[in-house]
Amino acid sequence: MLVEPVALSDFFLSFFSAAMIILSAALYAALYAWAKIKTRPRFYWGAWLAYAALLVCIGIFSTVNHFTGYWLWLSLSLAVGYAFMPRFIWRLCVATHAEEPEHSHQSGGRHD
Amino acid sequence: MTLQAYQEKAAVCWADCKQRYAVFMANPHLSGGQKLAVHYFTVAMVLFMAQLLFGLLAGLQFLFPSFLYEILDFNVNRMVHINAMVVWMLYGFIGSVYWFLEDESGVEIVGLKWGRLAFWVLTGAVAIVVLVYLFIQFGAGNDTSLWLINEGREYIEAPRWADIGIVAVVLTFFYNVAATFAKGKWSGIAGVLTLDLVALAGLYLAGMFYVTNISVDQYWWWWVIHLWVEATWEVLVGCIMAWSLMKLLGVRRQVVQTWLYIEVALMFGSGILGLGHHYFWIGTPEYWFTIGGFFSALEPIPLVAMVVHSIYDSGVHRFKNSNHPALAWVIAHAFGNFLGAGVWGFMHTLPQINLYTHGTQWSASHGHLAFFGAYATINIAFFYLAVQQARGNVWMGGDLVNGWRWKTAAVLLNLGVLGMTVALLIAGYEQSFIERAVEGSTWAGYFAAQNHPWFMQAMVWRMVFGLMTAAGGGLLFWDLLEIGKGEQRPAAIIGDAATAE
Repeated sequence: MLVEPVALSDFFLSFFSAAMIILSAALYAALYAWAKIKTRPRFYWGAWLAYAALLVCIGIFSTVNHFTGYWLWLSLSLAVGYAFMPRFIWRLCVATHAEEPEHSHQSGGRHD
Repeated sequence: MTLQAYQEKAAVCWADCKQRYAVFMANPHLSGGQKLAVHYFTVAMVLFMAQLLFGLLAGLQFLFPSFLYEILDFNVNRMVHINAMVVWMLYGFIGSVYWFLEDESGVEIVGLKWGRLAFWVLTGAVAIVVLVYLFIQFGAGNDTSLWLINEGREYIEAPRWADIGIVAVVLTFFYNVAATFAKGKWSGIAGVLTLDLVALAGLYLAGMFYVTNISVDQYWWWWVIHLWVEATWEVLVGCIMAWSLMKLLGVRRQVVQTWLYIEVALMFGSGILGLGHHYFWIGTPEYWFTIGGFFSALEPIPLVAMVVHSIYDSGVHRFKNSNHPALAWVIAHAFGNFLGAGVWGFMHTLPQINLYTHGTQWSASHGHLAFFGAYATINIAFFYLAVQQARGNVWMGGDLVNGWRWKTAAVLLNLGVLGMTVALLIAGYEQSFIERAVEGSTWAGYFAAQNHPWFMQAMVWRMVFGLMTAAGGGLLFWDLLEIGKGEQRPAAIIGDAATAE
């Protein structure tokens, strides 16, 4: 078998760290976006704290799920992917809304 | 009361229905396509109520196993509960597309008569299939029963004659969408929608042939179950959302279309090979552990990305909108999809832990919140948009008459589903622990887990929250029939006011 199952004693850690990966990634993304909107440095600190929590959760998750070999690429992908995804999406948000005139919102949209 | 009195009462009722139907068909606020859409929405709501009813019956049978035994068995209740859910989602999606098709293409629907015929054929077929589910689900399975009674595959049990009918109806729907756009204007939404409908009809075929090797059979069956839900439905909902956001929040077409393309890329990038998480334990090669595990882990990324855009829009545009109930349900969609599909999915998606959770109440917990959050919420949001237009594009902002009704329905439904999800999570945790890990998936382990106090208590709480959900569903039904009646104020215009900040 290519995978070693989670130990009985680690069940809760596996579930909890998995949930916390997604939740801390979302918190990191939310604080990062909010910091950009409000331009307040303390939200950046919050975002980095959330990202640090995300890294800890990835570490726990990888350990209890017995990640070795190529499974560690998954850990790396989660760490790198969640670090850059909010920045990438933010840039897309700014770019897609860039041509938006101040008062241009019309109900129903129009065919551009 | 005599038989004649019943007959007279039925005749009066029928005449009243016919009169109401005639009034509805003469509604000057709706186009032909929108009237057809309301037909779909009406059946969708009836099926939603059926889903709730049969879910309650199945839930009761966990608490009282002899309840309706050999009258309406658990397998039948569960089957109707899940099939009603799948079908009401589809009715909602098809109705939503018919609703905006003429607006989006700029021309009348090319084959409206075919669309109407397809609706009545589909509805008739659904009614017959439900009756067969309820009354003829015993005896040996053979080729005849496969064609006429039950195809035997979980979640898509409809007999083969009905399968063929479903494909025919979807093809009619596809023709209407493609031909209408071809006659009128094409747009980004039109292109994505048309291609997605090809996949929607095509993938269903994968669940319509039978092979004797159970691994191969399951392999193709998952094409329908997973790829429909985590690829084609997601994209279909993306198209519906894109059009809804233009109407509801006044978002520019260019913005929603760009994000629709991004969503399609992200969903297909992770969702298609995420299929592998269903191939862990059905006898497929071991490389599916890696493929399924890796791409399943990527599936929450679009949902996390959504958080950034939500913050951006709420911070910059402040959610100025023309329909408060619809927006509330769109927000419920964002949270429900994120929690149900993202968090609940990732918690047990890797094979290292899925070995213990697969097929336990964990799956039910994930399924309840994910389907509700990703699909039910969007359909309900669209129903409110439709009701607003049907009433003459009336005010649906703050200070609505009897506004307590939609708010209470939303709270009851969301809390009810969340409560059921948590209760099922506890039951699933206990099952994976005792039945799978400690007892090694034996029959003794199965019964030990089923009779454990944690499991029993979780099922009681599931029932409590199920009743809350049903109360919310009933209130929603009532509200959709009544909201906006007598309202004289016109709908808020999301134009200059929306960006005056």
